[in-house]
Amino acid sequence: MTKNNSNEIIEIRNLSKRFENEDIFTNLNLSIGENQIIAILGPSGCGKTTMLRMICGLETCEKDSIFFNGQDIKDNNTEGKVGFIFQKPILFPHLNVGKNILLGSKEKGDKKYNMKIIERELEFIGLPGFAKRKIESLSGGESQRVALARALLAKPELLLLDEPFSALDVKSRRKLAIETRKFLKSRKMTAIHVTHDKEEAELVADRVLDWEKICL
Amino acid sequence: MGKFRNSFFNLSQWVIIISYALAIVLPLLYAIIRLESVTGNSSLDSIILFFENPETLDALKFTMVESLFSVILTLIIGLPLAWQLGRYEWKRISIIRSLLSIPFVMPAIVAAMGFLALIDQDGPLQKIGIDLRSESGFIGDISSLTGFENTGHFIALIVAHAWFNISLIVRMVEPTLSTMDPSWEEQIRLLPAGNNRLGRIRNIWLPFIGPAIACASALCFVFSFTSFALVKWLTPNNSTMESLMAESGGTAGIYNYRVDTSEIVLAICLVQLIILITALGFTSRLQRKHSLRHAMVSEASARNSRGKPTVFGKIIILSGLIFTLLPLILIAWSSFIVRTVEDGIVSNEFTLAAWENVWAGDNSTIALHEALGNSLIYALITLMFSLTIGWVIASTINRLEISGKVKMAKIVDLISLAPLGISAVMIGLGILLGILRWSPSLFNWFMIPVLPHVLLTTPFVVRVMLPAIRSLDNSFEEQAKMLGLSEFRIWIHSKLSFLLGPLAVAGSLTIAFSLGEFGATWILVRSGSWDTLSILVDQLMSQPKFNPLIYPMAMASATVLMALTFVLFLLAEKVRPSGEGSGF
Repeated sequence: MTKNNSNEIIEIRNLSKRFENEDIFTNLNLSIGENQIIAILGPSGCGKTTMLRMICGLETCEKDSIFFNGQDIKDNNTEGKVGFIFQKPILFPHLNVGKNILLGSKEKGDKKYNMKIIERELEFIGLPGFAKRKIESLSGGESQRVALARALLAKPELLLLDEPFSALDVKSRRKLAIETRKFLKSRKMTAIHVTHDKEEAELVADRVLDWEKICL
Repeated sequence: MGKFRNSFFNLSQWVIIISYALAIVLPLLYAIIRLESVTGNSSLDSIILFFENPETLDALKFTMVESLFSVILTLIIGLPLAWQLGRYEWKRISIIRSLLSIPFVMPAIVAAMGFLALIDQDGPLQKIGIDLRSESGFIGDISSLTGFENTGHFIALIVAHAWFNISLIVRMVEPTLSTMDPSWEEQIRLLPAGNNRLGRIRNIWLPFIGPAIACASALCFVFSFTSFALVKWLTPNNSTMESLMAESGGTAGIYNYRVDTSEIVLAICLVQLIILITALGFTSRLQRKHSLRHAMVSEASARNSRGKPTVFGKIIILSGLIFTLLPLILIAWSSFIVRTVEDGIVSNEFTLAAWENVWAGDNSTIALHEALGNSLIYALITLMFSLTIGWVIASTINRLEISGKVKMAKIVDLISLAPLGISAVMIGLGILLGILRWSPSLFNWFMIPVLPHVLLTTPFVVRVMLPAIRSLDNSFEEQAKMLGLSEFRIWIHSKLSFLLGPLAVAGSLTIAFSLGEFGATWILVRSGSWDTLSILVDQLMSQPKFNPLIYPMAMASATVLMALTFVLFLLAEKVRPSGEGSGF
C-alpha cells in the first residue's frame, strides 16, 4: 500500500496498542510532511513513548498501521532511517564525547577526518572543545545536546524526540527547546517531539497536536 | 572507659591483621631463604636456572598451554550460558544459577574423580566412541596429526577445568547482562554504528561485558594454572608447575640431599609467584574498570523487557546443566559398580561392597568415618578462625574507608587477597619448609593443616562479608545508642542481626572449601592418622587396582565429600541475600 501524498514522511492509520488486555491507546491517526517539526502534547502515561517506539521498530505494530515514505514498516523496517532522542540521554560512558558523537556517523574515515566531523558537530551544538570530555563531566543540558548532535549526524529521515528536556530545570528547558528548533531547522529535519509541556511544545514545533485529538 | 575499650578493640584488630599477614608471608619467606641456603643460589640465579632447566621449562610450557586452552574452552561453554541466563526471563533462575555454580565449590579431587568416571573404559564417553583414556579412534588420529602425546588426557584436563570454571563466567558475566539498562541497546540499534550485529558487539557488548569476561578469564587462568588434583589424576604423564613443585617438595629443603629438587622448587616458586601476582593484579584492575562502566537497572525490569527464552536458549541451558551434573552423578554411580574380569570376560556388578569396605577402613590407612571426622574437625576449626579473621579484616577495611583512609583500606584489602596469589601447594610447601624444618616437632601436630586452610578460606570470607558490612545502615546503631542499649546489644541489633545471612554464606563456603582442600593438605598430612576425606580419595586411587573394590571405594569416599559440599552449598544459596548475583 502506498501513501497518497508524496510529501508525507510518516502516516499513521488507526494505530492501537494493547498491553495485558488493556488498551493503551486506540485509533491513532497522524501524518507528517517532509521538513515538518510537530509536537504531540499529552499527559504522562498516555502512550506517547509507545507510539514513538512503534515508529522506530522498538515495539511491534499491526500491519497497515504505520507507513514510512509510503511503505508499510511491517514490510520495510525503518532501521537506519529513524533517529531517537530518549528522555534520559543515552551516552556511552566508555567513550568520550567525541567518540559518542562519531557513533552517529555513517562515513568511515581516518582519525583526522573523524576529528573534523566531531569538531564540526560540537561547534554546531555550541560545545566546541568538548571532544575529549568524559560523559560523566557533562551537565544534563550538555548531555542532551551531545545526544542530539549524534542523532543529527546519522542524517535520519525522521527524528523522534521523547520528552528530551524533562529532566532539566525550567530555564535550561526553554533555552534548549529554542536551540533544538534551530538545529533541526538548519538541518531541514522532519521530527516528532512528544512532551507534556505546552510551552516547550510551542517553542520546538511548527505544529502542536493534542494527543486526545489524534486518538479518535 | 569507652575510649580505652575502643583503643583496645582497634589494637586487637591490627594484631589479628598483622598476624594474618605474617602467617602468609613468613613461611614462604623462610622457605625461600632455606631453599637459597640449601641450593647456594640466590633468587635471581634460581629464576635464570628455571629457564635453563628443560624439566621446569616443560612444566611452564604445559602449564601455560593447558591454562590458555582451559580459559578458551571455559569461555566457549560459559558465555552462551551467561548470555542466555542474563538476556531472558527464566523461570526458577535461582535454581539454574545454583546448579551451574556447583562445580566451583566442589573439591578438585571430586572433580578429578568425576572426569575419571566420565572417561572410564565403561564410561559414557567411551560408549559414544570418544576414547580419551587409551586414545584410540579419532582422538588417536588427533594425536597422530598434531604430534602431541597424551592428547586424550589433555582434552580431559581442559574440559575438567572448563567444568570447574564455567560458574566463574556465569557469575561474573550474567549479572552485567541481566542488569544492563535495555535502553542502551535500543539506542545503539538506532544509530549507524549499531545497525548490524557486529556493530552492536563492538560498540556495546564488548565494552560492557568485556571487562567482566576478561576478569573471569584471568581468574580461570589463575585457577587452571594452580590446579593440582585434576592435573595429578587426569594428565599423569605431564607436569604443571604446581604438580612438579608438589612432587619435588617432599625431598626439597634438606641439606646435601637431592639439591636438584630444592632448585626446582625454589625456581618454580619464584616464577609462579611472579606470574600469579601479575595475573591477579590484572584481575583487580579489570574489576575496578568493570564496576565503573556498569550501567545498572533492576534485574527484573531488564529481564521483563527482553522476554521469554527461545527453544535454542533452553537447549543451551539444559546442555549446561547436564554438563555440570553428569560427572557428579557418575561418581555416585561408580561407587556401586564393581568391575571383575574372569576368563577375559568383563562383568559389572551393582553392590554395596565398596561402601562397606571403605567404611570399615579395609585397604586404606584410615576408615571413611574417621577421615570424615578429621575433615569435619579441620573444617570447624578453620571456620572458627576464618570467620573471626575475615570479619575483623572486612570491618577494618570498611572503617578505614569511612574515615577516608582509602589507601590503607586498599593495602588491607590486598593483604586479605594475598593467599589467592599464592597457590595451595606453595602455601603447603611454605609451611612444610618454613615452619616444620625450623621446628620439626610441629610435623606431628594435628593442627598444622588448619593454617593453610585458614589462609586459603579467609579471602572468601572477606569477599562475602565486605559488601555486607559496607551496606550496613549506620542509623540503626545510632538508634540503638539513643535507646541506651549496652555495647553488646547495640552490636547484636545493629550489626550481627543484619549480617547473619552473609555470615552463613561465608561459613558454609569456608567449611566446603576446607573439606575439599587438597594441595596443601596433601603436602602436610603424611602420617595417616589425620588424613582427610580428600586425602583418602587420593590414597585409594594411588593404589594398584588389582583389587576391583579399590576404584569404587575411592568413588564412595568422593561421593561423601561431594554430598557434604553439595549440602553446604545449598545452605549457602538458601541464605544468600537476594540480588547478590555475582562474586562468591
